[in-house]
Amino acid sequence: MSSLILLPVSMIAGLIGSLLGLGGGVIVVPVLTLYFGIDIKYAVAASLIAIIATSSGAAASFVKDHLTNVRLAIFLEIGTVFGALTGFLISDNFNSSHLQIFFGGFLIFSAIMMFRQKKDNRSEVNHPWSEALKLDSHFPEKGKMIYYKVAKVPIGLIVMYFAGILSAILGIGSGIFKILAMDGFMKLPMKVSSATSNFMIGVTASASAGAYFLKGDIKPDIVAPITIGILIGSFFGAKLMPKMNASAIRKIFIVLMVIIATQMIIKGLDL
Amino acid sequence: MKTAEEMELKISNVLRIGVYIAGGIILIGWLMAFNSNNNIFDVYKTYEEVDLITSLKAQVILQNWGRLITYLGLIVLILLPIIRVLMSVALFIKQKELKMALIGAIVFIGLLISFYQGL
Repeated sequence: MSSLILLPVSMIAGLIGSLLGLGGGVIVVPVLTLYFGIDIKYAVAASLIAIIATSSGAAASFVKDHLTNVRLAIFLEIGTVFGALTGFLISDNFNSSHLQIFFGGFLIFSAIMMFRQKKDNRSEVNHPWSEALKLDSHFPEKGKMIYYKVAKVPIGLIVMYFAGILSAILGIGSGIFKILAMDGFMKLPMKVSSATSNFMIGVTASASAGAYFLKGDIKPDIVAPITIGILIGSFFGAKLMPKMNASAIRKIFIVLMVIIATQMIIKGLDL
Repeated sequence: MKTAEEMELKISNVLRIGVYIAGGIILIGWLMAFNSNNNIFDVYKTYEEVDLITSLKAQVILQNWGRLITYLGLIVLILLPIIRVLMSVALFIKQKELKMALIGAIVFIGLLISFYQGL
């Protein structure tokens, strides 16, 4: 297939990604491997570049809405960056079939996570690390300030380390695991968790993208149309967001994820 | 004196402009190297490790300037998050928040070690 087709495909990936708050990786990697027949190792490297573009491009709007906890993000980036470093080092141990099966499993897990009820359970006390680094913060909601504390900081950091490993191996932003660490363990409000996660994704992705780049795995023929397409798609996604029924798109997408996951696993098992 | 959040917003805006610049460079490179060949992805069907320097040299020999320009755009894009970490460290030092500056510096060192693994 000509590289021109990748442009509209990535535009759609960027559009859906920003409507659903997913990184493009969940879409880009399967599309490249299943429909373009590209080896998953190139797909993973290309996807990380697309993730840097979308996350870095959107960071300003996340900071502007006062939801991002910048101090916490930088602290947790220690976990994700060293995780990404580890992920890159162990990625050589997996062949392409392993990666496809692994990716399929990840997609099914993500689909299950998308059904999860979003409810906030706050912590009344700060973890000592949070106290020392002043990680607790506040955000405006419906005209008043909501204050929150940060619990279980070390566990959050460990989960971030694993999120970083997965990001480097599978070419994803790992937003689902980052949010899990923040609202599940550290008891942050959901809105803060997702804004802070999006803010962190660019730094996580650049750790392994830089390594893949120097290794020579990032190919301009694949990456150029994807990066441009994703940037255009997510730009329009952000504009469309308030006008769309995200929960309907979400349901369709969960079904799609399960189908794609099955295809990835079948391809990986070479059935 | 601006608040830390205003400064962070400024850093994020710089980052956004950087993404547009990198995207522009990549677009120019892609258009210059554009190949309507229907089999363009055939070489990527199975993974083969070719290091960056060898790939770059091959593009110079082929005089494929478009691909080289795309590589330049990619470098800009990959460096953006690193610049953001460095700018945050500078901001923390300015505010005499040395513990946070140290944390930012650890993240920066992690990024450098990670890059080094790719060589």
